[in-house]
Amino acid sequence: MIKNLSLINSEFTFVAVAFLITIFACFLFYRRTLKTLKKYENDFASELKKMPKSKREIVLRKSKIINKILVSTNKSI
Amino acid sequence: MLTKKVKNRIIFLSLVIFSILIISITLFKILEKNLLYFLTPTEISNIQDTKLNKVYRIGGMVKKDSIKASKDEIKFIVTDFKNEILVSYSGSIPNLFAEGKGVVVEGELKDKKYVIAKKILAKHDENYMPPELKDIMKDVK
Amino acid sequence: MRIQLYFFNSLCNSQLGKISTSLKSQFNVKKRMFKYFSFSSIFKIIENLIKFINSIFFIILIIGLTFALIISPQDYLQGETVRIMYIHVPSAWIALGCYSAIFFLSILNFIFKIKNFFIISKSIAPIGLFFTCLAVVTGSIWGKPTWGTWWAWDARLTSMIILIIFYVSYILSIKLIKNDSLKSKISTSLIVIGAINIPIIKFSVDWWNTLHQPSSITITGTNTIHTSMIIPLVLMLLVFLIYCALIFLMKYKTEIIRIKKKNLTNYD
Repeated sequence: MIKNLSLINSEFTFVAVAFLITIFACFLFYRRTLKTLKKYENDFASELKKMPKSKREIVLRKSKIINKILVSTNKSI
Repeated sequence: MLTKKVKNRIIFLSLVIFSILIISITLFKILEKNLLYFLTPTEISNIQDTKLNKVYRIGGMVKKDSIKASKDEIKFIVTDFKNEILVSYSGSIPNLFAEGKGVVVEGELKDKKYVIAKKILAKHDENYMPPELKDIMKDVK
Repeated sequence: MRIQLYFFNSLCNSQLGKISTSLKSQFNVKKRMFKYFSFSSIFKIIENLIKFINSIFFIILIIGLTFALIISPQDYLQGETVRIMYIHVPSAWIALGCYSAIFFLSILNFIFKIKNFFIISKSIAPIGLFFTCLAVVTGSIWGKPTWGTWWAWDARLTSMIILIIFYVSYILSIKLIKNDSLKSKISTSLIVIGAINIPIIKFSVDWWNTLHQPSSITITGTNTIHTSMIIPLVLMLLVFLIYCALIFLMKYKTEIIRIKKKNLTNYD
């Protein structure tokens, strides 16, 4: 008996599996990236909070970007 | 404009790239035989000392009107339009396997013209088109 | 005569004035351009871009998916399986494109020592690895119904595996080596050695007998895919490119924050 593979595995399953794997993997990759980004932002903000107040003010005055990072994390000091 | 350091780096890098190129080209010249996934029937017939019962992969077209399916065996001819090899096979075949299409056969060489296959892979070509168009093209031919 | 001279003078003066103002504005533009390359303005641009991509991404995704899954026709031979191509091919292109981008950036970084290029290539590398794996996995899923096997050690597939190995070793070399100059040397040399793999992947189907079919779309004109199948292909490529841009911007932002955090203790 020559079995035809197409009868056992319909083409549609392969397409569905491929697309689902892709979407799922893309979603996971996105979430992981977002998680690390948020973690770094939070770490950054808490690091600033730990500094003595005088030093923190100097830092904030000297560097514009630090303000911007803080804006994106919605945290004010 | 470029400082000496930068120039040195450029020279160093180009030398490295050049040597890597040369090494890899020679490597591929040596390995060329092993890089082939399959041999065509002509290449099989050109091999001087064909070891019988050795497993080869042979690729080519399935000759038109050559498929003969019996109860538990299928026989067909693989051709590259110069030489032909008869294949006999029993087992499951991929659903793209058809006459006039590419195929790769893996199996023991019994003779220079006869192979008992263990595995059949369909080789797809680079053409993609909707089925309606295929019918139209048939009519034109 | 005098009046003419007067007019001439005033004309000259006004022209000179124009030139000087244009020179000034050019200088300003240059200044502004340099400003754009500073981290703080890049940061703002990244924020805006991420917002923009988030707003349009799902629309393009839905358009791409409807074209790929519903509107596009079946193939005359493969039937429905052809739809896997719409993710397989763009992800393979992106995988190769990412590697080439990293290759050029690391060479420029090696020669001119531009730290920003290193950060960019560091953020691109995981995307390239991800899409290489995606191309291999979807290709394998496509291979089962078409060829009749999940995997074959032919030249195209093997060289893709080698590409994965190079991506992994590049990422590991960045992560594990602490010494900065050593890190840049080793990662650059890895990328340069691996770059020989890129033309091999591209041309393996033409140079050797492979199970993988030759490329259907060539840069020089002739392609053997019907137009109704190219449209979803291009749309899915667009979707993936936008997704890549989003991931890249997020990774790049993470890198900037990481650097700034390192420098935080240096302000005194």
